[in-house]
Amino acid sequence: MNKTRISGYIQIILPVLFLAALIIFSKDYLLQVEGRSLFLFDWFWIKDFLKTPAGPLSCLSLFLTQFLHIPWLGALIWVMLLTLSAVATSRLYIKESGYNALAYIPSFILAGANMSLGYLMFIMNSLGYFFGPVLGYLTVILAVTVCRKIRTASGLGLFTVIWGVAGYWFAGYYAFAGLIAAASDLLLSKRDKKEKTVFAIISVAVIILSPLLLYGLTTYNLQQSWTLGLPTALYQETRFRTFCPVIAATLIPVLLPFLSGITDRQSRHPQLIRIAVIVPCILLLFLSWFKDVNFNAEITMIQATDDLDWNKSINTLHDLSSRADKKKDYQPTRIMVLLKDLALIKTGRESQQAFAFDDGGMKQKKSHDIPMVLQIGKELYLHYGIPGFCHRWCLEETGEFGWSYSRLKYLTMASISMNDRTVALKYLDMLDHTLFYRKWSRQQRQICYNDIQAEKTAPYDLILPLVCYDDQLLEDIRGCEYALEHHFLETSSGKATPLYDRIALFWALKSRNATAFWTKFLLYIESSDITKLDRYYQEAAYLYSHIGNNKTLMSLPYDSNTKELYDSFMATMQKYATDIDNLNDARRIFPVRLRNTYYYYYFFVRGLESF
Amino acid sequence: MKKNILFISAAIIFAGCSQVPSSPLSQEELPAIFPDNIGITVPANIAPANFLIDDDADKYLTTLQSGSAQVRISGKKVSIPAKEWRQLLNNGDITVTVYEKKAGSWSRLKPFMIYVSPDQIDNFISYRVIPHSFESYQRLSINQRDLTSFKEKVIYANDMVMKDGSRQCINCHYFKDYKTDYMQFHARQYLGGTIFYKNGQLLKLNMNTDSTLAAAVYPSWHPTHDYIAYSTNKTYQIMHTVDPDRIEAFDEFSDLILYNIRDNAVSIIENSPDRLECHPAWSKDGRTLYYTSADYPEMKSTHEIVSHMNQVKYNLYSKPFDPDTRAWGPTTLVFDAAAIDSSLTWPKISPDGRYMLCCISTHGVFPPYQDASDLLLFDLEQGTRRYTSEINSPCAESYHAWSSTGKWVVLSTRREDGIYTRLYLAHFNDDGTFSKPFALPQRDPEFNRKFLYAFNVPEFTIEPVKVSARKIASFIRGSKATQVSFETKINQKQ
Repeated sequence: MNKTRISGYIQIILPVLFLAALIIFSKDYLLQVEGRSLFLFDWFWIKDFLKTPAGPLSCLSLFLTQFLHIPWLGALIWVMLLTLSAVATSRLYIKESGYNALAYIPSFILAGANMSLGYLMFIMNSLGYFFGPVLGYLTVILAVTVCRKIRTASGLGLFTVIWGVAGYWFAGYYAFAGLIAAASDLLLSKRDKKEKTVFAIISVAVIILSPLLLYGLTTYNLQQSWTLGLPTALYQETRFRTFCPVIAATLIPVLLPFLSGITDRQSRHPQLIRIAVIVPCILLLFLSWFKDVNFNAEITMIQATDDLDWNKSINTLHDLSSRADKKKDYQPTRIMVLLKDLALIKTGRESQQAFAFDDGGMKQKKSHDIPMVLQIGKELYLHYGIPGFCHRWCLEETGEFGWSYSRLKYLTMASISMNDRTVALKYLDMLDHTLFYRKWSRQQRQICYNDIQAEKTAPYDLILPLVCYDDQLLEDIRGCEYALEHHFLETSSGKATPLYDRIALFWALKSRNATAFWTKFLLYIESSDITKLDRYYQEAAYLYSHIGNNKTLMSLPYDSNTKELYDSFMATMQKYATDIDNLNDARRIFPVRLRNTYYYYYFFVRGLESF
Repeated sequence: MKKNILFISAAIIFAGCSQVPSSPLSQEELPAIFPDNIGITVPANIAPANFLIDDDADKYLTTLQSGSAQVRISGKKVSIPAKEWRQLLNNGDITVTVYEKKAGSWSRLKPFMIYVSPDQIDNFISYRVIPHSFESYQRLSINQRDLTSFKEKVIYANDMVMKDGSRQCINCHYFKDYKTDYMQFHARQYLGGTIFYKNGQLLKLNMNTDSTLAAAVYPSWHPTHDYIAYSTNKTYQIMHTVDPDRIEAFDEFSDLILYNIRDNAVSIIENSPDRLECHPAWSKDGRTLYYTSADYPEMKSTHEIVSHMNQVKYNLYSKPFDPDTRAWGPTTLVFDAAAIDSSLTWPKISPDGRYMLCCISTHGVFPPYQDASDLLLFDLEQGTRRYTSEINSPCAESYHAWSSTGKWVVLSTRREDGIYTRLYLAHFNDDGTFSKPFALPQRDPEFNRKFLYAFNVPEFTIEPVKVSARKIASFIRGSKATQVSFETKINQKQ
């Protein structure tokens, strides 16, 4: 097999494998990335990007990010751009095909940078951060390519000045990285000394002066002027994490000319070199890929919630719990538990299944404080019938991270749920200018004008019955889980619907508050037309009647299974009382049958930290 | 005449030689346009009042006629060239006729008027540009708009000094006597302080003292002496679960203080423990301070205020003041808003001292979030008051300001979409009424629909701000706030 053919195979096989991995393992992640971005086919909106340095690059990146709405398509575009980066680097720098693998390093770094973000994806505040780095890298390569084509000192000088201004306007940091790469390429070439000197001097000058010029003429902050275009997140401390991989990738073209003495000569062991480069790169990508099972489950469940695919949300946690059953210390995160509860409520199964899942409060594997409300606040508040808070958090998120499809959708749904149709139309006007959400926008417009249709259409059919209380003033400074519990336990309504009473009872169960339980229990019994109590309501009633030593309540017609499980649970608890310090101990000791009871939840699922 | 002929020729050429349809079908209905410029009154020095024809048709033609001057503009967006607009304004009231071509035939919609007032408006207006969020924000700026054109410049933006992760809020910009030799605004949190610009000199002050409640907030510059009356507030926000008003901003505590610029010292004006005082406003002669105040004797905690939010009603009070001795007289109730189950805020006195325009809402101190908030006009000379229904809307009307001549007001309103505060201008007529307000003209008539920031705290000035944003930013970054002192001596006339 000749060397060129092997290179060709690498150029095909690696991207195909990466693309397959993306689609198989990170489909929902890609959808969430897309949901947190926005591109409007509206000149008024685009124009704003053209006013800022690196804005055009962000705009182009956002344009491409929208295709992640069809994950395979967006992923394909991204992988093709990464491949193009590798091929272009190879063509530009590597004469001997045995060293071609070196050209793949930047693409691997850039791929790893995006796939390693993990929880940072919730607080990324640079617009178009997903495609931006690869487009920026291609800008770097373009700068070197053009410089090589220019053969005169004056031409180089002119190009440098134009690039220093226009390139900086287009791509910010990447334009300067391109000049540095071109300088490195030029200085190590056999070109005329005068050309090298002119280029070096003018490059340094424009790299220093362009941002200063911008600073002098506008109201930009000088501190950020040289890093415009690089991906950023909410907290300054994350800069190292988000900048480093991208800067490292753009440094490769600076370093490659220094290796030209090697890469221009024929290699004796081309296969070995390929393996020596590609294998660590694959390993690097694999290791940097954020593979935390809870994170991936959370992303899937959030996406399922966004898609109103409640069964998918439930099944995700169910599958994960089944797989993790052998891992004794496994716990889901609070977000998973809350999304599972929401999905069970929406499918009417909470009173039968809510406590049949592993509960817990596993800490998210994140390096920075990212409150739950920034991750799933808008979803929870909308679907639990607190649209004012959904609206609020969409706007808070927008203030920090920019407008997005997802926020616009939730803003619309919250406004419709608040019967604030004028405001809903404002957001729908924006979604009308999108490629993939205009159909949704048209549907919502119909609902906007038709109350009866709204009451029958998902998700409003299960939200509007919850908006049945007099408006309250509420704060969620202690976190959205606490706020939801407070809302359902403290808000009384003379016009409560059966659905509202059912959910209030569920939150009373979750609160382990006997008084709240009995209050909500009576309201639930009054408003519903049930003939038989569901499992967990029976277990809670049986437990609280025993705790309160209330003989009358003890003698309600409970199922025998309720009583039998209670007796077994209490016997087990007494037997192992001294061995149980925490939830993990309990999980080891109690069999699944007893773990799936409300009794277990009441006694052991405590002190879990919400955030 | 010759000039006019030349102008008409130029206008027609500009408009691409669009011909008025020869025999259009006359419609009795007015065109749907955005913003609603139908029947508005504009000053003779305002920027073009561009608008969008909010109707679907195959073709559009708009003619604007004023005396012998005529402009024809084709297209859905009616963007009037500045020079031609100026000619139209110079000729007096403008008749606007919209033609629409649908299914091959032209129709002429009922013409409407744009009335031109000879009363000039102040050339500049300053306002805060703010994203519509409640606690989180990235960029806030105080901008200045030239009302005779579309030029806008940043007076100061918080991101000029912010480091990543830092936060700075800016608010309450204010000018003395419509001129820009004296200006102030507050920067909060990061590098915070009250920023003063005085005759070319910048100062940063820490106006929070051990003897006052908090830093200074809402200002009113004394018209004749170097004093500023401020409210000092401890403000909180809490969210509605379902009400479209969405949020309540309220003061847990608030007092009034007087800042003596010369001595760099503050003193107490009002700090009654069972009252919330706010929104100071000097009378024209500076011998009376108007302010708002709410009674809340039984509400001693944030929780109690929240649970009794609807009962917090601000009345209008006045207090005599001798600017030479800084002696205060007894407080007088001017308007008992609580008696009509309302709350009165943000009194603003016209430059001639005769009128006072206020916000009136159901409760509380912060009307921008209340759809029920309207404007109420007091005639201080006649002792009458009335709701200014001609400029109010079903949505929130909030912060407002008089022009230096008292012939124009700017008001902040959410009338367009219920959520983004926009600025509207209205002519104040000799009979004490307002003409129909019009949206602050924008180059792109769809601007207000698409711009995703809100405007607030509009203030007129007759001249541009004289210090650059860069200079202010450098100063804020490089200076420490000077502590103001507290004056214990309070002169009270009984």
